[in-house]
Amino acid sequence: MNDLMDFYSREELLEHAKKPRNEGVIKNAPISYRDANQLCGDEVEIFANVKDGVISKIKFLGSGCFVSRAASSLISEKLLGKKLEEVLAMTASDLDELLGAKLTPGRIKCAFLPLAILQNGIREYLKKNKKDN
Amino acid sequence: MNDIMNIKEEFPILKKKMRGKQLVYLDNAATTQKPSSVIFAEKEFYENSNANIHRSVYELAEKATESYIAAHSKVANFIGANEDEIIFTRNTTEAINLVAFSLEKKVARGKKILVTIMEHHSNFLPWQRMAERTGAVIDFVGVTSDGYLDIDDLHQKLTKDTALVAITHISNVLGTINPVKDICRLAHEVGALVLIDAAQSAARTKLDVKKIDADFLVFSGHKIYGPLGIGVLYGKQELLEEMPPFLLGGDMVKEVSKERAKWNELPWKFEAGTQNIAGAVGLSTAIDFLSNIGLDKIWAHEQELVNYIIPKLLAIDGLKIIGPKVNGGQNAERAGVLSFVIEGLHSHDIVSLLDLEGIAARGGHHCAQPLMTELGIKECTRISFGVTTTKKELDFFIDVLTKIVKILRKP
Repeated sequence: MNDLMDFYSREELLEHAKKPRNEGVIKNAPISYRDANQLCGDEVEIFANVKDGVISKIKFLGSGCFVSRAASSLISEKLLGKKLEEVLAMTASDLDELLGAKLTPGRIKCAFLPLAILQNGIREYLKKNKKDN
Repeated sequence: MNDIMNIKEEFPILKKKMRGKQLVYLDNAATTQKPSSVIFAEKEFYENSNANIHRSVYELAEKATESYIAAHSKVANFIGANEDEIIFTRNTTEAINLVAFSLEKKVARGKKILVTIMEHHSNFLPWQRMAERTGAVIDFVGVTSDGYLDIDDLHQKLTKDTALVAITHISNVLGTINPVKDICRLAHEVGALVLIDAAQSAARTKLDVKKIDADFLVFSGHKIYGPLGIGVLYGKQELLEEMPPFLLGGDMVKEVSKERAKWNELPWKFEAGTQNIAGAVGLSTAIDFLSNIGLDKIWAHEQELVNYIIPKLLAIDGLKIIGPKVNGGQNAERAGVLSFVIEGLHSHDIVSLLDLEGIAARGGHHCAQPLMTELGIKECTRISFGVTTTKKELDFFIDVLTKIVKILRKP
């Protein structure tokens, strides 16, 4: 069976896409970053709180496709409790594992976008903290 | 009129399977597939005629030069121009950039560049930069809610200070056919020049630059069943003669001294450096391919497909066609470039699922973000027809699309 079909036929992922968890805003979040998917122009914005160097809360905004919404929703649950460095080290293959489906090359960016945005937010946060200290 | 003259047979790629399924290619607006004759012409050129052109006197170079010059004549005949008025570029985009660069002196500070909101980025960004560099202002003609060009808006904005109008002949998103002949007449009345982006129309309808009275008309070889990397700029001779060259280098000069250069004659003045000679030969063959079928027949075939699919699309729950929803029979109002949105669904989910059945269609903003913003959408799904498209393929597409809506809508 085709892997991408797996994505669309897996109840868990469709459920995440249709009723995403943690949609919304964290006011004054230390980590917040927004970017657009060049493929379609969709924008995603991710907010995260940090406690003792680990991610303690994630919220996101963005309409997007099923793939990007499911990825955003999954990330907002599964990356809680992870160290910032661990999130920064994540690659596309970690994401495949997280999603439990291997996407076609054309669609990987849709799934990777929320993670890339979170990573950029973390980098910005770390840079700012370095300066402040 | 289903598969016109079994023409699919001539396209090797259309026999391929994609994701294990028979390829159904509905992305002709992005690029068309190539018939064997075009593929063979390029191969044949490299096997029998390859040499650099113009300045060599050996037989092989003469053959190459002859083919290259003949390609200019072929294109000129195809659109009713003189051969000196045909300049080969890499693609439509490069042709527009050439005009935007070389026309700068003709556009004074405070003058207006009028484009439409339905332009592809490539017929918008060069003008945006031209406005920045010249101090001209850029203004947009809007579209009606049905996706037609807003003619009242055009009348209002086409003022005496308009230096240039840049407009697409057929929108790559809406499929709308713009009345380019009328627009040229109106623009000329106020002394403005007109550039027509014919990227979507050149393979669909017979073009006659003299009848349209276009000042510039541009299109790409790869969208008219020709090879990649070759495009066409038509310009009126007197305008091209006045304009400075775009790129400088070999072949575009007559004499060079340490201090200055004397530009070559048309069209060579605008063709600097070694050109895509094989591409020109391939393009020439593509024009033969189109002419052998006949553009009237191609147009009729496409119109039949458009009229066939519109009601089937509209029958899908929550589907909205972006662009004209009706077609006027004799006076067709849209081409076979059809975009739509389906409530609650994203185009990239739709095209991914179409792809799993071998159907190649396009999602996203189609390089027309100002239009998307105007229409209040971010992206849409597009199917676009070509000479090989059949009703059977469209039936299959509709079946699959109906199933996709069910999968993605399932509560």
